[in-house]
Amino acid sequence: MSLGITKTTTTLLAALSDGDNEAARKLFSIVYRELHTLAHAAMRRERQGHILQTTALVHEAYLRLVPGEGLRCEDRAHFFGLAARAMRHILINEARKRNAVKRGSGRQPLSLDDLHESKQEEAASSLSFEDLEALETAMKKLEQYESLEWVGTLVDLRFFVGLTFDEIAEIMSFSKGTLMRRWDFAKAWLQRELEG
Amino acid sequence: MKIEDTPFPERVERLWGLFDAALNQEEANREDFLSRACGGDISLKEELITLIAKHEKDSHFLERPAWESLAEQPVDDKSGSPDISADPDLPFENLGEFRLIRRLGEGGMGVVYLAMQESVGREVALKVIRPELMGLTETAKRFAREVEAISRLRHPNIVTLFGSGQEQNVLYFAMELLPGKGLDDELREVSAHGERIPTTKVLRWIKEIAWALESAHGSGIVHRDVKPSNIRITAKDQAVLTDFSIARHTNLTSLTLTGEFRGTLSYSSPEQVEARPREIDCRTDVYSLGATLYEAITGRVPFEGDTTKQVLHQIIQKEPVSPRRLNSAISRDLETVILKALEKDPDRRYRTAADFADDLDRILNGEMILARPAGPGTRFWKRVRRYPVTSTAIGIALSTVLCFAGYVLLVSYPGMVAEQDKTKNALKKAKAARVEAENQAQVATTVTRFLCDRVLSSFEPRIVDDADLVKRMVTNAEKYIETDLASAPLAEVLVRQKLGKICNKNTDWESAADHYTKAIELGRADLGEDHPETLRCLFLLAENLQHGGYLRQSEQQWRCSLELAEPVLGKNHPDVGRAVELFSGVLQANLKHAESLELARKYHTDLLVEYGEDDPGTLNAKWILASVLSCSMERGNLKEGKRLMRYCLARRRETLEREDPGILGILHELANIAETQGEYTEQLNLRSQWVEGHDSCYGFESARALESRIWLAEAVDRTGQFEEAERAYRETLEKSRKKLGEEDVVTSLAKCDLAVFWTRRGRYDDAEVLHYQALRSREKTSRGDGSILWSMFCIIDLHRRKGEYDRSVEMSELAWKQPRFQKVTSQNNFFLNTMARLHEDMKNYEEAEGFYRQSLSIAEKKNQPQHPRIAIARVNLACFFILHDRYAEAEPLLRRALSVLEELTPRHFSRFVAMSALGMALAGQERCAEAEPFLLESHDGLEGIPYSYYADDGLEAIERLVKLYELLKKPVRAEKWQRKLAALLEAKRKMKNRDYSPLKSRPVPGEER
Repeated sequence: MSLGITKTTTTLLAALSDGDNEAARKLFSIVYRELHTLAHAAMRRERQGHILQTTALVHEAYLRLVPGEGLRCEDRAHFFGLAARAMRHILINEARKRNAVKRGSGRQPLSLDDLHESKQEEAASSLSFEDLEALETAMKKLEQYESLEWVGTLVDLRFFVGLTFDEIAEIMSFSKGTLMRRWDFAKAWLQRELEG
Repeated sequence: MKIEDTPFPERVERLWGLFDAALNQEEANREDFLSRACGGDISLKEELITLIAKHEKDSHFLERPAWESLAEQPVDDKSGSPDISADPDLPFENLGEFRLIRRLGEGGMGVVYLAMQESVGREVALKVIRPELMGLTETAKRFAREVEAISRLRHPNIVTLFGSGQEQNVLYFAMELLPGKGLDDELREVSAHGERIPTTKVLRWIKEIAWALESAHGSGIVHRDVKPSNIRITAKDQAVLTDFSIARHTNLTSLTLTGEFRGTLSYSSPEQVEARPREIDCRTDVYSLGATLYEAITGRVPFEGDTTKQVLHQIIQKEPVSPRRLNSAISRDLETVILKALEKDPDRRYRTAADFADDLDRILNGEMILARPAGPGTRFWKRVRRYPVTSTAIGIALSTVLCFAGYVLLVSYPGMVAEQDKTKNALKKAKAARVEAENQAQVATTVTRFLCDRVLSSFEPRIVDDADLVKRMVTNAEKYIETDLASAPLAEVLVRQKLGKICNKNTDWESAADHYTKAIELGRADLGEDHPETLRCLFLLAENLQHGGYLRQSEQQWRCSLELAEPVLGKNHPDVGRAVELFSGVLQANLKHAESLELARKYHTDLLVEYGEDDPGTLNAKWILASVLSCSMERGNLKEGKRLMRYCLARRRETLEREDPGILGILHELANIAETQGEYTEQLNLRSQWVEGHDSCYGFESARALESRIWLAEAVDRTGQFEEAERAYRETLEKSRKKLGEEDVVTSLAKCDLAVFWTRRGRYDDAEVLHYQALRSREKTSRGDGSILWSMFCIIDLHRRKGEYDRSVEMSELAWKQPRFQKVTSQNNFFLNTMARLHEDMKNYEEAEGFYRQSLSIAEKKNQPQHPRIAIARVNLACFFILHDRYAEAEPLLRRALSVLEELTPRHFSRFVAMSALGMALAGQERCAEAEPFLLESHDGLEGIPYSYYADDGLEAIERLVKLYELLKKPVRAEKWQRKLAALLEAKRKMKNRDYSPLKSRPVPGEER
């Protein structure tokens, strides 16, 4: 199996650079499947007290799918872009699934106090699942604009994968300054989309 | 304020540009800047102001990685349905009576959807053939017919088919929805974390699939696409074979067009990739299942390559990498089984999936497998896992290992070889060429057929228990060597190795030695001095001599074969490691402990330096060193041995599965050490882990697991939990009777050990019943392994305790007639002690003293001077003296014994027994003041060891205290101890008279004798 996958990853990445859209689709599905497997395994571990490190997952997927010396810079960027997008899908799907569970029956209702507390906490630092879904919609919308494609990639790499800005700057070939400004814009834009 | 849904691209681009520019302005100037830049476009300006405001707000928005908030959310743990993400593009809403819900995944030929079977209201997995493949497959009619055939297959390990049909120009069929995941996903997940699925688990799954295939084959269906992704592991941990019909009609050449070919290629058999359709039959599935097993065990597919062509070439031409090289935890047997399934030639594979399943089952049960390594380079002998079968129920004093008196070897092997070297050297080269030319495949086939047809088919362990019959069969087989293997020296060497092994199993050491010697002779002449098989024969001969009790010859043989083999095979070769292990054992048996230790240390250091701490060879060497150290009778060594052993245990637990036999071996050893040292709680703890390991490794009702439970019961007994111990013994006995049969060796062992337990508690009648039952079974099943004699000794002791001396004597005469008795067992300390006691009770004091003295002198001869066994023999003799008022003679014996026991086994009850006896010896010499502390301390010590306290030892210690205080004229104290004695006797009586449920299968009285 590994034979088939690794080989294709490298060739597909090359094809991708030549603008082959079909390659992008195939590659995405490979990367997605790989990450999905890794992520689910990781989530199980996380339940046993480990922390789900999406960053590590993406790096791991990279090592598994692209063995050997590595790739040309642009292929690497492509790969990470794809992986980050796949990660977003995985996390959002996971969120959906858990949402569904939460909405469904069989779970003990929280007491009002609990609810209140957790709401506040959530509001302070993290996004609710509904927000995540809204976020995705907003991102999809932005991705329609070719000139702003980087917003999606940037948010994927930063928010969904958790790479450092240095890493992102390298992958996306932006200077750190530009990157930070773009990040500001992406955040502002999406926040407005979500909050109205 | 919200922007309209789809603003023009230019506008969005502008927004970004201005956002960037505005933020480059001083805050005060921004308003102006924006007004200028936006001109009259108020909404643009407002939008920018909103965006900048959002930016200025300094919120945590998006700053916390998504997964962190996700991690806080509860997850549906019981997620029964496969968790593959939803895919919105369902090509159809309905197919027949099935409503598609979401996509679950895809395979080579089709896409699988979660669907609802509306008529029944159940969820199913609906497989839809890819439209683009429709043209490539054969007609829908044929498909339908086959689907129907498969729908008739009913097997718990085959996915159930609910229905099928054709609609909207696609074919589909509905299968049982199997919560769980594919074996491919399982494998990927564990390998992503550098782990492996426990071997026993994998073997069980593969076995289940093999049975599933057997059932399909029985219905004339060949799966043809067995691979991990077509095996689902259900939530109940059951393996289910899926994806039948599609693969069935897949013409492999057409598959290559789909781009999904590679995944399947790895599991395709040579006949498939070479497109020899007429050869495709059930053995094709055996091959693919073998490839699946290979991957599951080693973490990679049998053949890897960068291109399809390379892989194809390998499948047709190359042998797979030995699984043991990829995963050193794999046993030889398992490797043999895997490689047999992966044979290129279908004729050399397992004939049926059932044969394959049977061998997997044998491995799971720790039995001998039917398959033999076919290739000449393959490892041949199975590592002998030696779990002692004899009981050690009566403690260290009696648990002397049966020892063999030296016998002159019939064949003086080294001299013979020297002569052959001269005469045959000239021929050697010419013959070697011939050997090279010999078609290796043909050798393998010849060997396999020969072994199977002539020998192995009749040699299932537990089937043939007639030693003479086995011997006749081997002799018969030998006749065919001349005719069948005349021009195949390698084959003859392999066959002789095999025959030797069978002879060994049959304790026919001489014939085995004969086979090995002939094999060595032939190997040296025709294969070459340093051919791996020649070297293996050298090792086998040494091992044979060792097991046969020819210890000096064995030592010599190990010495020269190791010297020859080590440079050729390499120090960390498993065979060399095994050889060092056995050699060090022989050295110990020959009382060369220092040399043994030196050998083990050097081997360990060499490997450590050469291969580093983490090499499996080094770990093995550490283990050997640990074993040797813990046999050493120096306290420091003992401690170091124990420490090393614990280290090995920890390391093996890291690298092997929990239940690996290697780990069980260490636990066993550690438990033995704990017992020897009187650390009973520790022993119990280790034994429990050991039993758990057996349960999960071999299954909790397997012979091995049951045997391990007998040991556990004994350990429980030692900690003084008599009732629990009894229950454990009885439960194990009942289970063995039910699962293994009345006559099985493990059942006999359970009977014998429970009888010994009862004898100690004074329940003589029940003990007698069991002892005689066990003896009768052992007369049938024992292959000279000493178990008969063990039963007999126990019975002698039992009758002595009952005062039935005639019957004891009768039994000892019977024992005397046993073939092994005079050679081996007359030297046994347990026997000598039993006889001494018998004569003592019969008031033949001179005879008794003779036996005690003989026991001591043999212990001195066979053990290192510091060994506790010698100390115990001294204590026994001294106690005899004490009973005959020969206190002065007893004292020096006891002092010597005590110093050893205090040093080496300070918590073992024998130390306190010795102490009590010394007190008595002193009191007898009217040195009561000296005696008192000894007697009191020994009582306290024994009281802490219920096992001994409630037996004779405790009673005796108190009796002595009573005597002491009477001598000292302290009636109050004497009275106090007298009361204690009475209480103890009462407790013992209660134990004896407890209401036991009647024994099952109790023989008719009178039948015994």
